[in-house]
Amino acid sequence: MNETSIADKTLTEQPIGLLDFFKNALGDFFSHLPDVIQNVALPLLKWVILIALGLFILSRVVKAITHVGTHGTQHFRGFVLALTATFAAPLFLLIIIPALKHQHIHAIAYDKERDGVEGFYPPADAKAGLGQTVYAREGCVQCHTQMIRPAQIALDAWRHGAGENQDARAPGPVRSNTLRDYLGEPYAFLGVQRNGPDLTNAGYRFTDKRSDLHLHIYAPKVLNDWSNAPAYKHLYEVRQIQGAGSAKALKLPGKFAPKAGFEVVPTAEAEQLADYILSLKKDFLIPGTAVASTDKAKK
Amino acid sequence: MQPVATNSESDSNADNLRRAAIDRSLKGPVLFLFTNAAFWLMASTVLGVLAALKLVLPDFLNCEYLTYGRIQPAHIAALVYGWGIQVGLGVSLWLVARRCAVELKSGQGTLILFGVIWNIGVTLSIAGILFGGNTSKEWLEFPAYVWPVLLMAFLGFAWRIASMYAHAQRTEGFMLSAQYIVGACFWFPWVFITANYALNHMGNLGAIGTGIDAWYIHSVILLFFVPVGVGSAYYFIPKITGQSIHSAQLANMGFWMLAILGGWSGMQRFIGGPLPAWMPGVGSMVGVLMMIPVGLVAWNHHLTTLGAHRQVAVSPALRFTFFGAIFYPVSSILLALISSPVTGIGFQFTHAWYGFQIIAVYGFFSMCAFGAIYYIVPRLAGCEWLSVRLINNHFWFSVYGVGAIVIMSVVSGMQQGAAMENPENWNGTWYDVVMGTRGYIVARAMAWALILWSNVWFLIHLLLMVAGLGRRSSAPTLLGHDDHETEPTIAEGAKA
Repeated sequence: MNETSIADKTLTEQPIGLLDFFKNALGDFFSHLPDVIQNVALPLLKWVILIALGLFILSRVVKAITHVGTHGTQHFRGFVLALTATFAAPLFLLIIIPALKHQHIHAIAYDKERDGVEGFYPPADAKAGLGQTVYAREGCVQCHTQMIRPAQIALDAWRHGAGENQDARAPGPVRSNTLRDYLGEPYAFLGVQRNGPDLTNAGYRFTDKRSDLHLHIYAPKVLNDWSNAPAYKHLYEVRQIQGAGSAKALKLPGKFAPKAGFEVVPTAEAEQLADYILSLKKDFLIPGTAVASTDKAKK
Repeated sequence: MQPVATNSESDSNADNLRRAAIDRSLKGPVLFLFTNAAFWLMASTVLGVLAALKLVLPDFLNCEYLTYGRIQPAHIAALVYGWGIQVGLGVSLWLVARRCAVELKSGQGTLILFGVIWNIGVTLSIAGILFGGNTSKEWLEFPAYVWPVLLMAFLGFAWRIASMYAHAQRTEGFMLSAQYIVGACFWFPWVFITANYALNHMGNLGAIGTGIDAWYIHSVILLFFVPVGVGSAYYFIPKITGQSIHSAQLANMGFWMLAILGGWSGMQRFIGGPLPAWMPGVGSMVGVLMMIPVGLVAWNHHLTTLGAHRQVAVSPALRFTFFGAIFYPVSSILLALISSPVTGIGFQFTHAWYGFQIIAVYGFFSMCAFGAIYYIVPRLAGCEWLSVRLINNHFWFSVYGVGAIVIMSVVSGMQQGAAMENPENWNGTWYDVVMGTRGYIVARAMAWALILWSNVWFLIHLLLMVAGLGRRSSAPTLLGHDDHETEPTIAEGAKA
């Protein structure tokens, strides 16, 4: 698990702390302070304030809870105060602070010498396009996840076709996902259930197989007759063949084929969905881990 | 703190008149909520059958609007927002008014208006999900414009409930169930605003957003459905058995432990995922720790009911509430199983998750709500339930239906998890997952069909009652072999 520990380290080096926030807000006021104050006194002050605040809230909770026996308006105030205090802790620590911090996470630049590649992690072109809206609208998340668990706890990473290496037997597991893999997405579709395969790195599986992907969306049973995936026929247009026919027409076998003289062509939305699924390659090289995956560094 | 005094000797005539006045003042809003909720429950059940069938026969009724990806969220939305929260508000309103001995002096029309707004919100969200507005944020799949509508309607009710509590006439005794319900009315808007604001208006949250969504689901269950269900059980179990709550201390501990732990869980759904490891870690811990407050409550309920089990067989309200109270610790055990890192990995992303949602919202909460409805509606409608057989039907089909759904979901979850984790399948397709769970999903569809059968009769029965077509009698409708006309002993206690 070297990968994630290094990733976590780089993550903490980002300017996302509360202190940095005030630093930015107060301009270069802090830069004039002596180093001792900057590096020791201010962090210390921060912790003192946090601990004092925590003790204060705790004392109010204890007071309010012991107060709850009595009744009337006074009781009501104490009761609501106790509810507020007990709920505020998870609300701030688990939800609000991580959400605000996440707003300040951004892509990390690769170090050419260390990583052997240039650019950013995650790359700017990894952003999900319009196809993600179609993916959400059709509720794909109900059956497909986009999250690979670490190899120590689950077999996700070892599955055939889980990552870039599509050989019968990949030399190693695919890495599990980090926060930055989903950067730029308004909401990560980690998924509800796995009634179908994980799609984290599905882009690799369908490279050069775009027509297969369309077949799967239009009529999943063409590929596997036991499939429980719905046929999204409304994303495709059945139309009369004109001239030599469309180059994009689906090659449907036997009973799935339309009437003679007709062809099935993907609509713009089907193309967007296919683009989105083909773009799913969430195994970008994590800065500082090039040694671990030598074949990627060669690229 | 004194335990509740529920013995019927203390009921004077003036008390009875006051109760009747409170009931009269609440009739409109509460019956409105119950009736609409029952309709949504029907809708949710139909969608539940359909969703399960879709997993096995994806081509059945295949059209743009009826794929599994849309039906499943619509099914859950109808269950949670249409039925669960709506019926919860109805029960809360009545219970807090009764418990605090406060009449609803005016504003019934406004409350019904808020009820209408809530139903418009639910309609918009389900139509939105089915007709192309699905956002795929679990439990918040409705289009973004729906949430202020739902929030406004909820606050309309929560405000009245809280102010009734703040102006309680009754200063003696133990306000336990009212405390639970006011807690629920306080927590839900907060959770709802936080999740909706973060997910719809902050943007760019990536995987943290998904974590917040999981937190939202668990918080709605633990901080709305649990307190309303437990609050109602704490009211009706002592009331109908005629025994006071066994231990006020246990009850108080149960409440405050729930308040402290409830908001921390949820992110364990993504163990091994991209979230910072402490977030699922805390969730796992709380998911397991929740067994303590749940166990305290269950133990307290058990001790309160001890020696009065005959009433469970006889009173429909107590029978439903009692089974709800039994499903409560069972759902907590299931939560611990899917939360703990040891067993949770195997259950992650399987049908067990669906099983947990159903046992929490249907097995536990809805059974308590049914119990409350069987108690409240005769008092508001002024007539008694028509048929013992219909109630019996409703009860047994619900219990067996929910039991079957949950067992099938958990077992198919084990099957699914094992198929995913089987090293033999490293090069395989998803054939094992799909085929291995197929039988259980067929069973799930059949179980929903049983529940559908029970709910059709429940709805008809409720509508007849609301229309005032119930039995005109001074004796309530009781179950069991006893001839209820000749044995009014429980009747007096239950009527109080």
